[in-house]
Amino acid sequence: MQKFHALNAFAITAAALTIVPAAQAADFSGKQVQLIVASNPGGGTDRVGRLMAQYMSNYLPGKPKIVVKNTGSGGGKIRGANLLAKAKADGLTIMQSDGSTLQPTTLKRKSVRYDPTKFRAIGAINRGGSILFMRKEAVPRLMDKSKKPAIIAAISGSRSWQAMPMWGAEFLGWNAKWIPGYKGSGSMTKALRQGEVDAFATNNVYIIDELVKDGVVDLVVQVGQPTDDGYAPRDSYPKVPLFPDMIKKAKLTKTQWQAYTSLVNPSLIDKWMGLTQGTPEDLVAAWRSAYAAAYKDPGLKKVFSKEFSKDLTFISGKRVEQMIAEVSGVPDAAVQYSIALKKKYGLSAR
Amino acid sequence: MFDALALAFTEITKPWPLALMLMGILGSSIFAALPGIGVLLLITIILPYAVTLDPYPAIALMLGIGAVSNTANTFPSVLISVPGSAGSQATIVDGFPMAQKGEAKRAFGAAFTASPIGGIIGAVVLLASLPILKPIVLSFGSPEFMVLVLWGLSAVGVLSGNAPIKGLLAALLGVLISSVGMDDKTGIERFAFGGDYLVGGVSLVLVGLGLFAVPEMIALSVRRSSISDTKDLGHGTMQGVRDVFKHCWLVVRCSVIGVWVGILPGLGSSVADWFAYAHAVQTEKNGNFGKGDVRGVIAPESSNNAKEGGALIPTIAFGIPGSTSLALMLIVFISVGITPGGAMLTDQLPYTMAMIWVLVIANIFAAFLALAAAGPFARLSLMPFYLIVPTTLVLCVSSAYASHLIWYDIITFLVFSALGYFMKLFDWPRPPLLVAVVLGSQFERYLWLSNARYGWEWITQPGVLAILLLVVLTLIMPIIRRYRQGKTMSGEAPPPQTRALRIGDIGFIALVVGTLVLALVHASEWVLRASMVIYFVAGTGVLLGLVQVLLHLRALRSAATAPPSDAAKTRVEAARTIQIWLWLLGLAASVNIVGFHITLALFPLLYIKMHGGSWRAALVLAGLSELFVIGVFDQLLLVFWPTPWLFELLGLPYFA
Repeated sequence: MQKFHALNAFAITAAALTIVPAAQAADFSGKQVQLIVASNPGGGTDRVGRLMAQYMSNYLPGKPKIVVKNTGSGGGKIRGANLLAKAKADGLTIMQSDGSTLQPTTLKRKSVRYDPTKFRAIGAINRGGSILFMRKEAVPRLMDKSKKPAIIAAISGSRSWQAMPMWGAEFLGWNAKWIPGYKGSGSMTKALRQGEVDAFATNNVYIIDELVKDGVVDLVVQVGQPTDDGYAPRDSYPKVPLFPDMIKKAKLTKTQWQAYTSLVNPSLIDKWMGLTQGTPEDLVAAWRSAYAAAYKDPGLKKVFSKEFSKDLTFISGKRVEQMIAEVSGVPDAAVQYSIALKKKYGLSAR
Repeated sequence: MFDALALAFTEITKPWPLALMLMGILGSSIFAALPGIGVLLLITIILPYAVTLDPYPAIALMLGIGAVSNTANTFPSVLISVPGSAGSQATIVDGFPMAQKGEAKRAFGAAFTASPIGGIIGAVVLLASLPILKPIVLSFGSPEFMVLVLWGLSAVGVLSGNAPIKGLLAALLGVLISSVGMDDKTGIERFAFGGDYLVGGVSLVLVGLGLFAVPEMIALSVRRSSISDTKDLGHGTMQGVRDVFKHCWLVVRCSVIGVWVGILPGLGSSVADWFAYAHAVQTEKNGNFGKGDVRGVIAPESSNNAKEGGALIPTIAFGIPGSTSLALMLIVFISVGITPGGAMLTDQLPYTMAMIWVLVIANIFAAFLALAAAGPFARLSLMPFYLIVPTTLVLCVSSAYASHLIWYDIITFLVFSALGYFMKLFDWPRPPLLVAVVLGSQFERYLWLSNARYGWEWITQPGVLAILLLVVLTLIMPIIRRYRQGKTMSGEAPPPQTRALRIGDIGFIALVVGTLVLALVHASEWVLRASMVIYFVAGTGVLLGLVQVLLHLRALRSAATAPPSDAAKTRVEAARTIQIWLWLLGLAASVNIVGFHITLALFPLLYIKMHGGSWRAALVLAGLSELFVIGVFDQLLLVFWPTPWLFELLGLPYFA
């Protein structure tokens, strides 16, 4: 954990130090910026984007107005990223998105017209890894194939956390069945409380804490945060077992492990903000500086701690670009493996 | 609980929260009256400021906006058949015909009395439900949702009036339209054809604008009259108020429907008003629905305001926002320290009570505001067509673009305008298509979830059986009543079609059925899970289409049933129809070529002058259009305009 926080502090400092001299060249006076939010209004991605934009504006030279345009969820996320790819490289169009637009399986869709490795990342906020939770009475069924399978809710197959139960079913003998097609976290929460489904995962601390407080669920496992020597649990949930530790015992092949990380790693980037390809370095630097400064703003910290949790992690734009390159560099065999596994468990392949 | 109620009242009626509430109500009323713009945009504009407030002022402001978002949207629905928002679509069906009969004031009087009563009933239900909030929300699972949606779809039969086969065909087309976009359960991008424009689905705003607004403006332009057929608007406002009290039981029933729709997260505003309208048609005696029956205004208007109280229930109980606007409001509430979930019923109970008070107070204020404006607005129905038509078309094209700020949306809007025009021409009922667009994908989703989870056992669940019984009753009762009366649903025989129109209708049916079949061919490549609904729609559509064509052929063979046609009148109407279509296409092309700012000033100027209007009227309307673009789009919405084609060609800068 300490190493992880040290890395975090280094990232912020490095970002600030490298950015400050170049920021003086950019000037947004009298300009308007379009923030494409690749989600529906009110969702997690939208919340992060709007709140960051509100504070970032104060740290950009010229303090431009930032205007939000939502492109919707599901297919709208792809549309948002396509819009960014087509935007002029003048620093006046940015996008707030999440890990699902970076998944290698998503990038195989016909409608995708962007290459995330070409975007210029401004920065990212990781809200803490997903926690898989399950109705208390369903937990014993998870390891007992003689009983009814535990039912896992899903919106589609594109959510990163699905990797945990899929690899759990495939390699740890989990007795699980999937039902995709729920509209969002709200619908899944309601379905879980009713007993229509037994489990799902989220990093939304409000949902998790309410369910735990009402005695509905047990926390089963978490994705964890990568550190230099493995994975670390979220600060808010230090005792929840780490899935990477569990799955190590299964002795996965290289392809199987790469397939797992190809699904999970985009969620480690989580809510990221970017500029289109070809944006001049001085503009990129100005945006990165504003992003880092906004994140440290006491007003935003206070709002974020209420909106999300205390497990937030800042990731610099440079590091986000490295992580995107790692995610996109997954061998095709691993991508095909994860598509096949999704199909096996009844989830959408992409 | 009463202490919390009293404390909340004291806090929310302090000068600052009250002032914010009034500002919210005023802003909401203005934005709601602008079709396609809507209150959601106001919420996003206010959001950065609202997060800096204290809890009670934040509640006053945000709910002051949200509670009355379905009040003033009645103005464009009644006056120009343009839905002010998704929540006011059903009001058009009887509201616009009332305006045509010179009863716009009566429609407004009824709407702005039913709305606050509905809103207050919603608040009362919320208050009464506080002890049992969680069980209420949790009593509806996927099977119950599915049959509720089925109940809504059963309204198609009612809304089809005296053209049941065409109504069902329209609904099947609506289900097909609702299937466009990414299918979450399979990941297949249905009917997106490899592009990203349709991958997010078809916008309901575009469907509503195209189906209703444009055909009515075309009709107005052909008739060359004002909206109202009579010059005397009378003292209808008070008549409308009295109508609400005369039909108070309908108001209560429809308000309860609205509250229930609000409680079920995901169904939304666009459903509440249709459910209520269909219920009114099914249960009210001696109805003249679709032709200006005031109950057709009272029903949706009471339910769409009551829905706001219902939508707060899952929001408060679980932090599951009951609507998109509430999802945005949650950002504010959480930021200012209001935590949705169990705390709202315990140590944060005063905040919950404050929300209830705002629902009540805001609805009353908004109603008075709207009633005060009813008279001046109603006089718009006396304005000549050459002022109304360009204003409405300008609003429509702006709203179509404002929806997602994509130029393709204007093309989609034109496609639905053409569809709406031909549906009106060939006497196809349009509401079933809209209802099916709203509910089709929901029905598919919940049917899938119910089957995936329970197999076919879901049919035996008590809640499901109760609602299915309701569905059967609502389908059977009108048939029994019709049989006893020896009448069709609207009490009249279907209007006869001329020979030419029948032949045209056969062609239109062929086009619709052909579209369904082509869709099936395309969908046959998908997995069954994604294509099943298309098989159903196409298969049923082919059968229904054949039946309707056979009925037409039978009628054509019988010369006695065809009314005589006036050739000269037909030629004039055809010429005017072509003209107005050219104007509309020109408007759409012009915004692409020279941009909104030039087009929205020139279009009304040219239209008014070429149809005999004065220079003064032309310049005033051109000026107002320009102010609208600059005020709303440039200053408020801060729209990023695409560079028009001509500007790009000439290398000229455009607005950034």
